[in-house]
Amino acid sequence: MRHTGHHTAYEALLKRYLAPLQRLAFAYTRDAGAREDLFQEIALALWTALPSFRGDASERTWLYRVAHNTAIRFMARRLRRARHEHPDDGVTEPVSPVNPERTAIDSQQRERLWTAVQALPVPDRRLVMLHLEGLSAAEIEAVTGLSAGNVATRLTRLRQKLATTIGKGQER
Amino acid sequence: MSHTFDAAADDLLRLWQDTTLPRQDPEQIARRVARMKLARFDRMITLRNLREYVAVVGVVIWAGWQMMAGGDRIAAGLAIAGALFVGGYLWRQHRHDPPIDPSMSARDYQIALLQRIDHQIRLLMSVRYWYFLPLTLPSLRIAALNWNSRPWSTLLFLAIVATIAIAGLWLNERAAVGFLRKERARVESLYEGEGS
Repeated sequence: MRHTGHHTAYEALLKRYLAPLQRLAFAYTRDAGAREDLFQEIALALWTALPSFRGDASERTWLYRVAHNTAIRFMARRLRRARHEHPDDGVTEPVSPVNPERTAIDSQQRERLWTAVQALPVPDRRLVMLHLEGLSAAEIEAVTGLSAGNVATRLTRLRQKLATTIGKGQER
Repeated sequence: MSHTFDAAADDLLRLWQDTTLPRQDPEQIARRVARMKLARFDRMITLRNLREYVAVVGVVIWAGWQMMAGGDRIAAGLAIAGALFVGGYLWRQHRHDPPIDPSMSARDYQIALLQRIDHQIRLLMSVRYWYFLPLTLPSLRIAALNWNSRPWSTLLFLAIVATIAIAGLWLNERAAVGFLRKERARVESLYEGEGS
């Protein structure tokens, strides 16, 4: 297959952001089949939108806008079909750490973090995901369209909530 | 205290970013996606409109043939005018309807999604004026012409036309609009509590 410029740029983009995009799909839905579908839709949306990327925003901001907007549309469609599908079982699938010698405590904390994030309402979940992927407040503002003050206030509350969730588990 | 909080936040970022999921091959994904085309929703709208345009062409050909074959010229003319009006109206309504750009901010994307749904709702709510009325007029002309010579069959014909029109109105103004209103509520629920 002959690789066009579009194809090459797209493949490079996927290589750079594959893990964050997989985590994004995982955070939106716990159902493995739906997650695969969502990932496909995001990949397709990025392919379609890539030629119109002019560099007005940073690549990262642009990518997360496309990915989250596509996820929201996917979730709306999924809610429509929800009664015909198996609901999420509420169980977070085990996630393997990068480092094989990661401690059992880390693994438990990670699991609690994922469970807590997946349980958040979608707007909060999106905010937390962007923060956890390392986006700055200005970048989050650009992705969500929320005011800087709103982002800061909500993130403070959400980070505290998550840190408490993780901490509580550790104390047990 | 702040130092402890920052450390906890950094820990969250590390825990999150160290998460790995089953590895996929970017090259394979790129190949697969390159074969796929329009998003499903936009493809659905395009296909539905295409169906309407094909129907318009069908009515125009049929009425033109009726005219040539010595049928009532006024009824055939009304059918052609009605079909062209419906096709033109649909085209006018959708000509500035490109797929919603997913690279907008989440807030703008929500507004665009809701506007698209509201536009569809308005279109369906007025379907009796721009769709059913122009297409029913030729039937009324045919009924008026045949009333004296064949009253019972004309009555039956009118009953069939009325049933189709009422069923069509119910499907559009009730069923389809109800579905879109639910769709709107679902989209709104996914942004609930977002503020500004």
